[in-house]
Amino acid sequence: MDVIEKLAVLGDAARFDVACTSSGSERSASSGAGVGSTVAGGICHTWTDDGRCISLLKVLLTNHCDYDCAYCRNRSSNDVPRAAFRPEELAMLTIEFYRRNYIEGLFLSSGVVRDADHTMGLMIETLRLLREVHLFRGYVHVKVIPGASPEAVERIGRLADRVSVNVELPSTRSLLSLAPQKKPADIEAPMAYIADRRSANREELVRYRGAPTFAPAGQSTQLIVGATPDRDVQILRLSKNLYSRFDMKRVFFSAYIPTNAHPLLPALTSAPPLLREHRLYQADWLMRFYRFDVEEIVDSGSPDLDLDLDPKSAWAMRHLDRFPVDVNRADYETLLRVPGIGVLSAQRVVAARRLGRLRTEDLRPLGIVMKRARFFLTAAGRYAAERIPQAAELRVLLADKCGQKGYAPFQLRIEDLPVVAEGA
Amino acid sequence: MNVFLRYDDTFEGFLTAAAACLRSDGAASVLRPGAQIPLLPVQVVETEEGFADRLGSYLSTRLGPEVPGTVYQAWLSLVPGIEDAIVAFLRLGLAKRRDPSGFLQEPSVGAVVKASRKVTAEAHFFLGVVRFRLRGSVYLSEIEPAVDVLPLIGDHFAQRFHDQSFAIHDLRRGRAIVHPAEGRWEIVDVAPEEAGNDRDGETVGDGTDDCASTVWNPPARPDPYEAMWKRYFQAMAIEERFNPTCQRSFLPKKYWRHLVEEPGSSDRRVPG
Repeated sequence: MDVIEKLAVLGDAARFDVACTSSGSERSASSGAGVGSTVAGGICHTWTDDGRCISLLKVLLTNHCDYDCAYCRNRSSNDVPRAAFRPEELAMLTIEFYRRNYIEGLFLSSGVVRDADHTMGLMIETLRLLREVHLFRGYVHVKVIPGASPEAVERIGRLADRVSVNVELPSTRSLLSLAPQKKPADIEAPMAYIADRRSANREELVRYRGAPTFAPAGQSTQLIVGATPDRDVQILRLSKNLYSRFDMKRVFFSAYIPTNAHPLLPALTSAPPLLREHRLYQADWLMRFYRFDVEEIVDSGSPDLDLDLDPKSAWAMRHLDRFPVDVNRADYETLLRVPGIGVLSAQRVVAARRLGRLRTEDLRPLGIVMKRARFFLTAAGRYAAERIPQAAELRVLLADKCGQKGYAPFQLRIEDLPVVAEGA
Repeated sequence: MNVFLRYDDTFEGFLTAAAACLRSDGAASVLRPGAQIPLLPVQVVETEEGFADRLGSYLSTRLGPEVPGTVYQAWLSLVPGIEDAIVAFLRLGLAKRRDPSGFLQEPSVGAVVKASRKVTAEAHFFLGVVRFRLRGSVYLSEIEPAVDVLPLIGDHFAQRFHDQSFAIHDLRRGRAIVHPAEGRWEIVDVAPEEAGNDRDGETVGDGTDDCASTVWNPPARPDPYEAMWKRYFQAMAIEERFNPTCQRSFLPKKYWRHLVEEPGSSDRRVPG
């Protein structure tokens, strides 16, 4: 099979993994031999016809797979075209694409051939060629195969910028019924190893700047949404755990696109839950950048996110007694909770107040979305909207006009916002 | 009485004029070259050599390290009236003794910050969408950015691809970044008749002129990696998520013609 055919098969097979970011790592180019650099904020190189950005060459090393996970296109019992790159072939392809500025680097995943460590060995060889023979200094993101040994994870972490182990199914019950060859411990063990090594590596780098790095861009993971009956509250509690236990940079959500008929999976004709995926990302943002706790967003009483309202507006609707707030007096944390005010506009409010009292007409230039924020703000003694609406009316006014269709998927690039997340 | 200060088309010249305005207590206005001549008196400003650096370090210590960059980027935008907005922006900063960028409720600050963001966003965008086409041993790219991004992207490409000889040609402005392998990059003017030749007059392409859309001549043999990239791009789209509106909001159609991958082509893709 030609390389171009392999590329079509193995790109196609990898496209359902949603992570595309090339961020979190800053490495200048070497002045000596070698090609490439990384940029902390990441760089998007193009956007596919579904509106998702391409930053990395995202491919599987092979889509031959011994596992038979019910939700996966590449499972062993599916009749799909199969291909495998030779490590040298893929290293070469990456370099040539990189030199033409098509990509920021490589995102490498793989089907499971023989066992986890054998597969990891092939991936390690690819990265070794890329780094040590081709002297590639660009970005590399690798998927660790569940069940990989600490030795394999160690080697891959030294070669890659970001490593990730996919959780895929949000509960043990779903995992056991749909991916019988994967065990929860096989997923958790490498995650824990990566988290430990990362924190040790941070110390090493403080002591000695030239210490070899271990996954400097951290680890991330992915959850499939809508394949199983798991509720949003379970998904978000799980994400919170993943962030705190394993020091995750990102938890990605992937709306399930039915590919296989299975009694436990949605019908083949059902549409991917794109709006739900979007709401989960909004909730994730609230937790990471807006200082919300999961239980403020969803709880056992109302276990799913409201599809009509963004989660911050939904929270505000449940706490109307806290509004309106005075934009000239409210502290940063309070501002962050106002629908229509984002991290950047909250920072701008704080900065702009130094010049003098803000009036309602000053708010739009600060980037505040007045369509929503006006119902929750006063400025210089004036309510920002014409009148106070009834709660039912307010709900309609705050609702997104976008339906499930034609809805823009959440872009993943803002990852390293001027971070206020950790207590600024 | 109002005075108009006309400067040459350099940033240095603009700063000299801007400084003169700041000293004049608000009565003067900066006039860009080529702007319509008003009925009021026009004074031509002599560009002072090395003034940009001196003013830059002054603003940096006095107002904050970001200020010179913001001013330069805003100026690059060439938005009508940006010169006077920059003067007002600096005047406010000097009065408050801090970086005025936070005072977005002030129209001049809003205009400067917006113009600077427009320029940096365009520059960042082009870090991604520059496509090099290999011609012989030289990597060539053509771009048509909305604003002049060349001064902002040269360092990035020169570091990343330090061992490559490359050129990035801004067709709209007739200028190009030229970077010899392991050398220093510079911006040169590219006259239309020089197209297809490098600066030393040696032919870069194969000398034929059958491709009107590109000034660099096509190679005798197509680059196999271009076909691979196109194929890969098409394979990555998920039919169930097709969303051309979203695609175009990130990648406006006006930028498609210099890409290799042909956006919008995946609905025609051949299976297998």
